[in-house]
Amino acid sequence: MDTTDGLPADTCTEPLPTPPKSGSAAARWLLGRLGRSILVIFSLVTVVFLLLRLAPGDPAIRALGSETNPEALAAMRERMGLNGPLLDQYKAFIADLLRFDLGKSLLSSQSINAIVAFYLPTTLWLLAVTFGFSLTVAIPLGLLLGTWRNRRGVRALRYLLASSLGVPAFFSGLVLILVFGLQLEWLPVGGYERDFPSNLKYLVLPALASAGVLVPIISSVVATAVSETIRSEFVENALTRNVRGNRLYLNYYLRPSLAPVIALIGYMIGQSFAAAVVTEIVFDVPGIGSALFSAILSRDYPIVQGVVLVVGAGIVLSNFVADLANAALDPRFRQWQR
Amino acid sequence: MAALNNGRRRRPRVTTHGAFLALAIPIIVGLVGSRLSPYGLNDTSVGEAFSKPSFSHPFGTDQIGRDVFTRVLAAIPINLTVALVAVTIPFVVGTVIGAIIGVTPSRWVRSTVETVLESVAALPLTLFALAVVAIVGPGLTGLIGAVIVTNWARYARISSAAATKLRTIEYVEAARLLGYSWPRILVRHVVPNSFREALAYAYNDLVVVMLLVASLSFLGLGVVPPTPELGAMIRDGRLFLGKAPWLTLLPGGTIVVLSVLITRVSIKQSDPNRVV
Amino acid sequence: MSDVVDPVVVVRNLTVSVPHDSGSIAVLDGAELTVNSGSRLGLVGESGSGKSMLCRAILGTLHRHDARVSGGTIHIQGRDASFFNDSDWHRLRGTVLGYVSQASLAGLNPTLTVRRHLVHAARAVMALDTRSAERCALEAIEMVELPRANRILDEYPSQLSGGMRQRVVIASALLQRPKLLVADEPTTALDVTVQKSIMDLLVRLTTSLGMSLVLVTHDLALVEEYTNEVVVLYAGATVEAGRTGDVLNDPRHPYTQALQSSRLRLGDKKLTSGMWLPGAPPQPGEWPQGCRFTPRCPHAQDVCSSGGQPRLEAVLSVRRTACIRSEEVFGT
Repeated sequence: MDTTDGLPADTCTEPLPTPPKSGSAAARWLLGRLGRSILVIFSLVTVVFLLLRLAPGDPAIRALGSETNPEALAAMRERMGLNGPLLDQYKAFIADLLRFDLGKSLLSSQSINAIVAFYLPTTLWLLAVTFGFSLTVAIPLGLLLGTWRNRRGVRALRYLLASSLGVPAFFSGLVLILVFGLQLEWLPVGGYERDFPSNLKYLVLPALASAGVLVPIISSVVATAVSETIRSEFVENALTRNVRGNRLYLNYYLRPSLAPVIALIGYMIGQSFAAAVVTEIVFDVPGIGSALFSAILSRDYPIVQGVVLVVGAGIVLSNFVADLANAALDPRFRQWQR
Repeated sequence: MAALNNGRRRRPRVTTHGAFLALAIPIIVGLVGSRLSPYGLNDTSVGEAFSKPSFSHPFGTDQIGRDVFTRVLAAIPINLTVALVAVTIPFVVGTVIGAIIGVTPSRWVRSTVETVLESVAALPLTLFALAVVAIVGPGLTGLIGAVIVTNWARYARISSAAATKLRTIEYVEAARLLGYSWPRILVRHVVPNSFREALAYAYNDLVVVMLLVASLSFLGLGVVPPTPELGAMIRDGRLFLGKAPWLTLLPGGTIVVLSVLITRVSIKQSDPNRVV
Repeated sequence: MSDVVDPVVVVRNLTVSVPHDSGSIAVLDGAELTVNSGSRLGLVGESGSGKSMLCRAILGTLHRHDARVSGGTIHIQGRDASFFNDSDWHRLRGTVLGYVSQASLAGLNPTLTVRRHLVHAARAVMALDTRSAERCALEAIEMVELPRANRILDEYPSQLSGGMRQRVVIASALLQRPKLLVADEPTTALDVTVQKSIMDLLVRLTTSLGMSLVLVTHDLALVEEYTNEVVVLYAGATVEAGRTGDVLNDPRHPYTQALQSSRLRLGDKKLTSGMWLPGAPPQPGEWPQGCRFTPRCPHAQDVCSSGGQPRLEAVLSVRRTACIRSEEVFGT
């Protein structure tokens, strides 16, 4: 690993390591990451496909409710694509997906693409407000916790945060509704308006409820990473060179610690998509989560399938973007640059 | 202490003792308590509906007059046991599978299987639980099944990584040279070590799964009424949030207490460097 | 340059403790050190001897490792460091005290280019505009003899080799022109040839910049070649101090004698500690009564285990040893 100088002691004539042409190596890494993401989406699709067909019981019967009319049953099976050998079903399934066709609702025959397009933006707004708020609070908080680990007030804060993790979002949501909606009447208790900026006031409480879970997790990871970074030699070097203040905190404590945080955020965005189901129900926000829920109750399987696939793909995408962000921010992750 | 270890902190070993205590005590309290209570789980008494918490009804009564305290006590063992089962099965199965994969000498096989594992592990738990429940209908079995099917891969990943590291450690090589067969090495060294690595994750999982079950029951997709379950009770109470907030707050508070209990125990057992 | 207060650092009978269970343990007890201006001092000891803690005490970074001074004195440029507050230390660091860490990948901030490292270091001690700061950076790179300075400035630490990284670390310290540079095992993790060129560089720079050097190491070969004074540390205490040539050729403490003789016996090859003397040095908290070297000392007698760790006493004009039996064992 260490190229030897091996030459007259007067000058350092070590050759600079020549990096491979940045462009092509970067492209190769990108393709690799993309390939992995595609693989995950592929397994997602396969599992969803198998789930419906291999689960105990007959989905067509369940879809129809209690009808046992053989003709209606056959028609339903056809609509749900359950006829024919498994492999053919699979091929048809994949073909549809490649055309970005998610199918039609069983109940209303509406195009699922349209349903998703209608409800998804609301959920995206919810996530944006939630994460915007959570990150703004959690990252500075984590930096604080990591740097001032042993001060008195900080320990109490840590206990508080750890406890807050045990509060399920739906519960804190209800508490928030009780306090801010019913008792104090500052904010609406539910519902939604689709235009910006009037939608924001409906998103405050849901965002707070989710933040109760996100902030402890994110700040914990930031704090742990920062306290590890602080023990590094380069921090000791920096301190002995009198580096201090904002420069020290941002460049030497925070920035090298962000890698696990970004990966976590990518992961948490995924989790939040799923958790949005519950949040949207509690706060009566018409997003993709509540659409999924109604579909589950009415046994409208194509919608369930479509939403799960879309959300799943969104999760994979956010993980991928997190990897990209890591590479942009921290040269250690640019594996093509060695 | 950093000075005494040349700057390196040692990680204490993660054990299961904490878990047993943390779970056994509430479960026993819940079981015994609900038996001892003068009220039955489903004794309705419409005249007493919506009474506030009082001496005779420490948690008040619900909309049809059932004593909430008794129901909460009965729900605690249910919530905890379901979480325990839904975590232990993937933990054991996944860790063993992962250990076997990790020690496989063929790099190619390991790579492929690990990529597959990674794909399965990346699938979100909540989403899948919802999908399974959508298909098989509400009920605990479906829920537990969903958790088992998706979660085992996560344990397998952790365990396989730990096992792979162990493959090249000296004492495993020495054991091989001495003629010990792989199954014996697996059982005596690799698997216990993998269990230890995965145990920290399992502790965390307990809380996650417990909250997941509560959330789904809250949505009406988990337990079937009238089984007492904390999430379901919150759901019932939600309708009367303004009028009788204790119906929501008390079962919810119980969930919080249980989660905090498990989390504190698991933090104590594992990484002391964790800041939160 | 301004007047140099001589000596630069004086450490007397220093005790440093760390918290342990519900009390504290001393990791240094009886440490002594004197650095004169312009001298190169080797600080020799095995792991656990407390040499790193001694450096941190001098640099004022003990609190980062939960340690604190619990006895003795440190004087930096004649001022008593026990009265220093944060801003006093800030004023000293960089301009008077410099530090170079062990060679490692973590010696430089992985998210910053070399240029930014140096610019930060420059601006930490001088009010400079961007162009002057960049000029300083360039000069610093050339001072440590890295070629193609402009290219190096834009590289990230992970793209450099170990030797180059260490040169950058040295550059960032020297750019602040400290009076004293503390180098904690600066070449231990490097190849032997790289080691030599970096040590030669350090020596050249200390001479040309009029800087003192404290070289912390466990390698007597380095001490012999590159230092003119030496302090030997064992189990948290200084056991011998004097001019390098004198101490190594004519040791006056059994520990130093053992170190040196086994090195010569094995033909000057680099040794890992513990190989040349039975047993291992006692860790903090396990120090025996009396002289801490007694259990392993070939010349130990009952009198050595009584009382506390012996203090350094002068035996020859500029030699001090902590062996109470040095006259009997080594003659006068």
